[in-house]
Amino acid sequence: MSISSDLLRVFDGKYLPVPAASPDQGDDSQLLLITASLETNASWLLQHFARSCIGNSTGRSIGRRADSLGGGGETGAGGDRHWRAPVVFLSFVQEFQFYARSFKKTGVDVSSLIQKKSFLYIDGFSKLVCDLPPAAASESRPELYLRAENKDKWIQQIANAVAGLSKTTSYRPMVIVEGIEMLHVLGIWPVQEILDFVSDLQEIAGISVISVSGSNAVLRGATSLSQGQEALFFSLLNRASAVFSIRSLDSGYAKDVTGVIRITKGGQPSGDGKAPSIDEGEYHYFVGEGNLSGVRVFEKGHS
Amino acid sequence: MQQHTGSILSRIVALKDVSPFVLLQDAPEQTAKYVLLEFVHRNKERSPAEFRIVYLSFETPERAVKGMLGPVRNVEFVACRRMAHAAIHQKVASLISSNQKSLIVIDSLNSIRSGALASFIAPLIRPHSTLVAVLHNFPTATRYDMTKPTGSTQKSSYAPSLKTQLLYLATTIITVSPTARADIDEDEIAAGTYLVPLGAHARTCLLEFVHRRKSGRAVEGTFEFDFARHEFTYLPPRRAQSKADDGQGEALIDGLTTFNLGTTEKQRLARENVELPYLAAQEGEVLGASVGGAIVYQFEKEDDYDEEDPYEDPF
Repeated sequence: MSISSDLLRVFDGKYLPVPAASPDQGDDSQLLLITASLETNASWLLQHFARSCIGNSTGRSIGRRADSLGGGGETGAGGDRHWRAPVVFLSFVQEFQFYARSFKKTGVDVSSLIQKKSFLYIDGFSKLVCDLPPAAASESRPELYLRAENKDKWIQQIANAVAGLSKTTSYRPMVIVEGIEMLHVLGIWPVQEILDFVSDLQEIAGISVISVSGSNAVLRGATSLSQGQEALFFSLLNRASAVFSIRSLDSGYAKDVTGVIRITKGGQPSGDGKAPSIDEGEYHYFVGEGNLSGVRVFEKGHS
Repeated sequence: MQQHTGSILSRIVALKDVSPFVLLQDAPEQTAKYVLLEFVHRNKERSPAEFRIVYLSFETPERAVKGMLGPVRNVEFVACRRMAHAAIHQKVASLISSNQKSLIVIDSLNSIRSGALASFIAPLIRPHSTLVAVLHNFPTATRYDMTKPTGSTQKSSYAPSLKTQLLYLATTIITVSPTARADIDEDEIAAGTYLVPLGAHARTCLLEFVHRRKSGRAVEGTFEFDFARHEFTYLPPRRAQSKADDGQGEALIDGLTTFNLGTTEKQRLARENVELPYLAAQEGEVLGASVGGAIVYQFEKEDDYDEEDPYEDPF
């Protein structure tokens, strides 16, 4: 049994969906794709998905509010979540300390979760993109660094690390990958092998959340790099069940709006006999001072 | 004829009409997977002894496929990523006996190199079998080889692209598009990022259908497909054209005024049949004789023409 996504659920009375357990729907290893423009950063949304899975240090799931839930379903109105699942967080654009600090600000102690084997951080930045010096002995470190020289063993290393995660839940882990396009930009693999790597991760995961750049500056162009980025981007769109597109505010700067998030279906069907599980829409969001607890998603025209 | 065209797609999807290789082309705004699932849906009740479905997956994990298909007895799943083509052929041969009827589906052909396409496809086109495969179309990277390492310079080649070869090989081509054109507003253009239109990848879509018969004659048509109801609705050419051109045309007029500005199908047909006078002149056929570019005046009863008056003839 693992996590299946019920995207009709709302998050804290706002409009961000959160994957919810519904074991009766089976285990369907869905892919949620996050696309971001050049001016925006998707890390707050990746953290939202991580938090929806692990809950915060108090043991309560983040953002649940009794009156905000949809009716019925596995989680039920007013009830706490019935499930927790481990999180595997892989970033190709940030180092571990960045996320350790970001999560801490919101009350999630990543180091403690790592010790409890319910959180696995894989560093795809420090030894791959640039060779950063090791963290001080007092600081916690990621358990796994990805290095270009042993790229053929990455999936085995990840699978081994995932096997060591907590067995207190029967759900498969949520795998979150930030900046998958870096593998193409750095020339680690051709596009097809990156997509195979994504499929391998999907086999390990219950739900996979992957962020990729959707900027026209990256995708449009006659160069081989742009063409490859476009092929990667649209191939991922075809595999995704849902797409979350983040962009900056079209009209310019506003004090109380950071950007726009659009939620749409991806190219992966919901299947025969199943109702589509995505509530499409476009909303504004606000991220306050780098503090995740300050993230709000709201209807356009409201605040 | 229209009635026949209207039913032929349903017959091909139910495998009652033979089409050895069906190509499904889709777009970033509309997936072809629902049509692929319809092939499975229409044939899933058949007994595994007499009929077998083989799902060759290049992009969908097994659990996702099972989630999509639901409980189906006669489906065999094959994870093809990183598998050699010869190994895929062997696996298919081991799953289907030589005289068994079968449906082979491929969820994406985009990972196949264009140079290796023919040798990959040919062994999968078998007697008593139908091959249904999806090709994802990208906006500009139509010739990009996804197996090529980053930064390697691809030699310019006059060899046909993957898509060109597939369009040549396929016996039936189904091109999938959204029912209504995405309404891209200025905000989206200004955003500088690709945005999936709201309403994309719907369960209802338009299908452009071309079926090449053995005789060489091609049957073409446009259909509206509703996956939720498992229905193909044939759209007569004019209706299909207007749907494709301005899917929201009538909707835009609605609510603007209390007058009825729309046209019914009957009114539209009547309007199209009106013979406009200048059309005959453009063809140069007046009074049964070709007159080139000359101005011809045809006298009528009321005209008072005097042949002897030199100023009477305006020409």
